Amino acid sequence: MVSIAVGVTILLFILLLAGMPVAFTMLITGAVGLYATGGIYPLIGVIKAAPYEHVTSYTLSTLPMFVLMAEFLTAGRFTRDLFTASHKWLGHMRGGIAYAAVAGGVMLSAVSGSSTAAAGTLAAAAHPEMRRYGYDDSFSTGALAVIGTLAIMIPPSIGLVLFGVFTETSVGALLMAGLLPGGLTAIGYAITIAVIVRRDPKAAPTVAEPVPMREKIAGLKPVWPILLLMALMLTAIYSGAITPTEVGAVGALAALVIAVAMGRMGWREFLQALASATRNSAMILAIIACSAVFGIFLTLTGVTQDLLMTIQAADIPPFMVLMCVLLLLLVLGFFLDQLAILVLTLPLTFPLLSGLGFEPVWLGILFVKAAEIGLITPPMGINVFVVASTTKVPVGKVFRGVWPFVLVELLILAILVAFPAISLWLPGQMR
Amino acid sequence: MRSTLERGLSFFDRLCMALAQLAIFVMMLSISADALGRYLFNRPLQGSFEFTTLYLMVILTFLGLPATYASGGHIRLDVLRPWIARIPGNPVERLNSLIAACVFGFLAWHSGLEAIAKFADGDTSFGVIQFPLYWSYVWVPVGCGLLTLRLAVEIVFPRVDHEDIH
Repeated sequence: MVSIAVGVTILLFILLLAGMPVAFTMLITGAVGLYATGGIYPLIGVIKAAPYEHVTSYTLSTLPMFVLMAEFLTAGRFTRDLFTASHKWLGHMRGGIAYAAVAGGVMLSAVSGSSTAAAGTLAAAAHPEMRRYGYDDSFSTGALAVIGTLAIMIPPSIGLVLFGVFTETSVGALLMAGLLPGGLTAIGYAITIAVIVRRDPKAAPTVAEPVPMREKIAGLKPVWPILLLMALMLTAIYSGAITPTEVGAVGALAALVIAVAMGRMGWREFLQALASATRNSAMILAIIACSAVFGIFLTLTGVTQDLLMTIQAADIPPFMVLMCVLLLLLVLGFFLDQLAILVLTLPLTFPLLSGLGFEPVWLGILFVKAAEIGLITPPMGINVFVVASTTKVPVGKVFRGVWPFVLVELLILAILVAFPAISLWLPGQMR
Repeated sequence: MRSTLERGLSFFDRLCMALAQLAIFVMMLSISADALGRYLFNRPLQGSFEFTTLYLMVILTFLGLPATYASGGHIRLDVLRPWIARIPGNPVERLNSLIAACVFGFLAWHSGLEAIAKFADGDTSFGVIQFPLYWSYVWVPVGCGLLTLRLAVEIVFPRVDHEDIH
């Protein structure tokens, strides 16, 4: 059994390296593994039913709903306004546009669950302003790539929904658990920016002129419906009375109504948003459907149980195991997309770690945080590529600006590991 | 030859994608109607749960699959792509398509047999509204079958990503 599992894992990496899509790789290796383990009949039994059964899930429909809401808000150009409003309030400080990007990023994250989309939108809105005030390109683009990652932690987060579906952990509790770590991350970014602009006068040489209070308040006008929507959604999830799926669907409907009512969405924008949301959702759902086959194969081999017993027999401290898994996630983050990391590692590592007695919700936060760091580390930091292509700044330059933030990210991950209460306090209040 | 095949497949891809788009939109309306109805008027929308899980989610996933693949929407590892694309004759891309076509073809065939069996049984779901279950099983073989056809075409005419070849 172990030799089959090892062989299939090697096949998995070969296929991934050969450029096979992640979803297809999971299906192929799962099918090969099932055939090697039990022959043709178990394979037929699993392949005709498992991909279908895994997507006929009400909890999983949270995912397309959150994606749809983010697309409607982007099509209605609200994401840009969130930055503009923050800019009016914070722009006059030293490095103010970068702080505004953090504040805009937090609000953006609260309506969008996709980091790459957030990074792209922020870069398009904030970078021209940063360039106008002579910000160093490396600093400004690095900061924008990093700030985009907030979206994967602050609810609604697609990463957390995916973790919840995969591990059968309460999605509502996971979404709430992401709130404080997300806030902590935002504070970490702001402190990093403060240190950088103080130490390097060239990073942010000039400040924007202060904006009169009347204009500041006027700047909030186009964004207040979004802020209200955000607050209502958080309250609804927190109350526990409404399921995250319903929050997502009503949120998407509200975003559509707000955009149309404010005259920001015509027929063309609507169709574009719908097409984009369908494509992104279908991509993620295909991964989930295909990885079902791989998951069943892994369960059948009993590798997880064997590994768990070996670890317990060898008296390896559980904390050590957790550290090894987090390290693995960080290393995978160098090469793989966040969703791919979760899909590839969860079938083995989650039963292992929860078997060792770690709290599932806390693990969700740690997993998503570790995968988030991979979005900004070379050679495959996807957010960095998005920001580089939006701003036309060379990729190498963006990566240089990202490094100080990567250190802070690691520090925050360490804090989250050391103090589980940061993640678990809020969901604990829900019950 | 290639362009005729390409046009034919793209037509069906777009048709399936349009249904997937309709599914995500109807999903939003149906879940919202259920939630708002329940909390505001104490009148939930009967059958919304079954309709979403049994039909809309399956349609969105499997009918969205071929077009998403065709437009390069699936995440993959790009580390070796620049080198792989330089090998004359694209053997790696062809092999990828062949392997994927075999497995998706297998999936489409057996889920197709399953769908036919479900039609023969004529089962319905439980609950106030009894949905015909067999219509829920049709979308897996349709989506995967269409994807298999495209993958089969790509064995002969591998996809060339011009931006990767320098």
